[in-house]
Amino acid sequence: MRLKTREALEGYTFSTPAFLLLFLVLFFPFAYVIYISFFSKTFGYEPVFAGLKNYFLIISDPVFKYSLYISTLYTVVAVLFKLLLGLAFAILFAQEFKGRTLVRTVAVIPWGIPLFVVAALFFWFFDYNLGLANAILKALFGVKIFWLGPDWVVPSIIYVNVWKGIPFFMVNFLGALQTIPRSLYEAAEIDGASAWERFRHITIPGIKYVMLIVCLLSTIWTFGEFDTIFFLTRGGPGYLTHIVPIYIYHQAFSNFNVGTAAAASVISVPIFLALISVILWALRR
Amino acid sequence: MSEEPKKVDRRNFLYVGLGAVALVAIGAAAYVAMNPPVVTQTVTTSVPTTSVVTTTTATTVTTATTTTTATTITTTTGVQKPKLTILYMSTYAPAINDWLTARTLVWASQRGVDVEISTASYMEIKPKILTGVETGNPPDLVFGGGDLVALLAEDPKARHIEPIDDVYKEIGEDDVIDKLKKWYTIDGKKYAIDLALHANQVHLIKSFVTEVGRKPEELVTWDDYVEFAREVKRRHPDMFPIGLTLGKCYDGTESWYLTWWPHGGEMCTGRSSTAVKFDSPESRENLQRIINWYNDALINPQMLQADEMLNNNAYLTKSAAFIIEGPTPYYAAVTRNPELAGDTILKAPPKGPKGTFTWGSQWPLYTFSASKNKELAKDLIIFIMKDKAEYKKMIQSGLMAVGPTYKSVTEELVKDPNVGHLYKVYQDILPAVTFYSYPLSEPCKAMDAVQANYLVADLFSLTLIDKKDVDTAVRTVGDQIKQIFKQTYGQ
Amino acid sequence: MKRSTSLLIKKIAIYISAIIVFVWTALPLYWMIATAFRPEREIYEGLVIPKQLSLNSILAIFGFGEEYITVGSTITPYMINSTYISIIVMVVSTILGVLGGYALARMRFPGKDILSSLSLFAYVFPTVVIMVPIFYLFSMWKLVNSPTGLILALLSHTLPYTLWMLRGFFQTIPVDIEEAAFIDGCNRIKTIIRIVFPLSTPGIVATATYAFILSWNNVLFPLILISRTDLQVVSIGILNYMKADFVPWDRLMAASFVATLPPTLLFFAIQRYIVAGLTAGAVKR
Repeated sequence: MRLKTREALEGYTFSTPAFLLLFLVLFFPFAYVIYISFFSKTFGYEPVFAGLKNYFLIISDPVFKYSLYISTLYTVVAVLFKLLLGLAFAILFAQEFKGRTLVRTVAVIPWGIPLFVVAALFFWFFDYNLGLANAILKALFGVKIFWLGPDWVVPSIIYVNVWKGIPFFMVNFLGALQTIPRSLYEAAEIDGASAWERFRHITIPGIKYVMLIVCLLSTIWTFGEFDTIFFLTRGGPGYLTHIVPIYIYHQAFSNFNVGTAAAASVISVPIFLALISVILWALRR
Repeated sequence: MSEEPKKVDRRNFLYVGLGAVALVAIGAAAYVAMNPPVVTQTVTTSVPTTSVVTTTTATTVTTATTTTTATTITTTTGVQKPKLTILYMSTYAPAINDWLTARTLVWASQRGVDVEISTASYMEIKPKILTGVETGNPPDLVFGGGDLVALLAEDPKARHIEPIDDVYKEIGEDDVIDKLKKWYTIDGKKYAIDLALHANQVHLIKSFVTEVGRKPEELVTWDDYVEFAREVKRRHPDMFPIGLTLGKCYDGTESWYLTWWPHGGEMCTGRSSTAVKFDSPESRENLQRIINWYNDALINPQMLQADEMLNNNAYLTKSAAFIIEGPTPYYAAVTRNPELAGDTILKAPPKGPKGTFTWGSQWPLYTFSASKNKELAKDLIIFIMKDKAEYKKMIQSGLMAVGPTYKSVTEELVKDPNVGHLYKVYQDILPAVTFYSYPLSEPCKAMDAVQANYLVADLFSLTLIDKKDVDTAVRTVGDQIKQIFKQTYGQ
Repeated sequence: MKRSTSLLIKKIAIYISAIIVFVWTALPLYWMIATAFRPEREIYEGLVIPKQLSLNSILAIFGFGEEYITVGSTITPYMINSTYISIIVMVVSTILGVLGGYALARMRFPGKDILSSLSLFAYVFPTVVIMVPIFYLFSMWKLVNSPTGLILALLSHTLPYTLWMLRGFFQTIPVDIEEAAFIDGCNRIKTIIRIVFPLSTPGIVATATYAFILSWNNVLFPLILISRTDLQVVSIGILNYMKADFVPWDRLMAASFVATLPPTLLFFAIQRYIVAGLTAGAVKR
């Protein structure tokens, strides 16, 4: 009995510093954002309680609606591409070929590069006059495109996100692939299963679980990503790439509508919470 | 999944750890070396500002050397000492910032004051100032954020900026160009002083003009320029000759005003929503004009990005035949690409039926009423502005990027045999310098808010991206402007 | 015969895919390096392959050999600040993470499961949501424009990570060893220092390194919290290069290259471990 109490005390002593700090810099601000979302705060004046006014303002703002739409589109398409290409890359690297280590190492590099560098890199890569992307297009097809112009900006930012995000999927999938016993494939081959059937009935079930977690994590991170788009387009041209994080930033730091920015943050929370609870559920299974 | 992490060679991780520790040690040592944590702090600054002044002919290169004396400041933090927090806009002419910093440090050492200088770009300075005011913690002295002065000083109930009439008196009020004074005069008091005037000029690349068989002097009106642009486009289908930014940013609003004013566009005639003249046939015509240029591929679609550097880069890479900007891109060309600078001619912006207009962005210095050190800040402004010989050096080191605030200094520079003709352009376009509340042409809080939100630049994205028609776009923006006036002035 | 043809086809397909993967990943990286290491003049000629190599841009961003240097245009102070801030964040989050993670992994006390979930929740939670309150609270607490404020904000990002990862690593240590030590008369602290620590050093080093990378790569917190040039970190230094009046491409790429090196190299050193920890630590609950 005494031992148990002692252990509990020790447990609290050990975990208190970390959680106290987390409370200060994370949980309290999180609660505070909900609190200030009920206040109307105009520049230079004291905050005034406004009830749900900020929420109505946000919901009736066409830009916010568009933000939700473009964020969802961006996230879904990017995660889908990352999943497919990540799987393809992983299957490639599961094969034996000369130079595999080299290609694999290069393929992992984007994961290690900071997002702000990725943004700077593609800013230059996409330059209309001097960028490599257009130089290649010009050499191959004789055309140049406005990568960050109105017609192409959304595919371009998805491309950047996919380029940066593939290795995360690939490496996790590769790890999972290696846990599938080789004998399963051999047995299937003797039974005359085609490559597709083997993939469908052995590979996919073998990595299903990792796929789920990786996709969910990536969905959360892609939805909440701020850095690349802020650096590349600042949400432009027009509002074409005004994803939710950019919207929040602009509300708070360009328009100084702290209340609406907070309300926008709060509205996006259920989306994250839903995704996170799926992860928690999956991890506990 | 069941890989045992323990199987990984532990030695590798120790190496990584050692590497990290080494990095830590280097970083910490470097940090300590850079910021000695001692009571007595010695800051040694030596800012030699050497600048090469190149004339447009690029054959005669004169070197004007500006040397700011090395200063050693010894400050003792043990003693109660005032500390001035300063926020400087990082201008596009680094030499000007160097000069400003050097002068500030000289002043600090003479007065025995601690200074803490922050810098922020054009885009970031406004949020920084506003959040400072908002949190009751503004900087003691600001350079930049010209379109905030009326916003922060006009409302008698919320006057955040400190009037500086005494500063004007000290430095000789009469010598300051009247137009610039007027722009900071609210209810008879002056709230800021311009470090320099940054007036837009056409950067015209001469070789394109000769290529199409014309002379630079022949290009005067907007029609001339557009015709010239079409000629260039015919010869270089790849090029987008008109370098106008259309994004939701400062330069995007400039593009609007520079084409709008000459064609009869007017913003407001007074301080009420009924005095707003934006929703007019002239606005519709002008928007249609720019849309036509865009549709004829005279303007690069990339220009819709909210990015101040796009037209400058277009000029520097010669992918536009002309741009209209404060001459900072020219400064960049002189310092990095002298051939281009030699091939450039600076001119007054294109004329329209209503005459010549140019955009003058303000580079003001001001302090806040809430600042504890506002008297020191005023003293610093006087120190920066009063010594006209030093001041002239700053203007020269900026290589035509800016013109002087003083009439006398302008006169002197115009007489200079080497660069005089360039400052003549400045002197000549001075009457054309127009502010965004034209034709009211007075500081106006509501207009500051309109400008700070880059509202007029929305016209371009509404029509070119959202594909709204011209009428709807002008009406939408006009209503927003009226709304802001109504909110600000109650009518 | 047929079998060998299909094998050949498979081989060719593998090599072609490997080349595609290589080119896809390497092109933007090549463009960064090619721009950083060539003379500035050449960039404006639109050449894809450099004619000449030059170290001028790399030297220029460190303030050497450049005639027109401006205050804040060299990357040196940014690099130093980033290193110093990231190291403090790394040390603090590792120490607190070891204590908290150990408690969560080993000790029995009421509320432990909630705390575990909280740490995972905090880890995957996007920081954009707390951007507004962090800025407002920190302005109130006078933590804007101070290294302490930035470090605290970054801890909200790294600490959940270290807690969650270290908890996973500690769980992989067999309990019997510890129990044996207990029986030998070691107390809790002694056991941790003598037994747990040596066994989990790799995990702790890897986690600490990743905390360093996370804080080095962060953009949002320095963006909203720091305006003083002398306190600014490298991510914003890169942003300043991008948002100048015109973009000095060679400088931007040189700075990006230099800013990428520390996190990328560290990442490669610990990459295997991060992957294992991410999924394995999660699975083992």
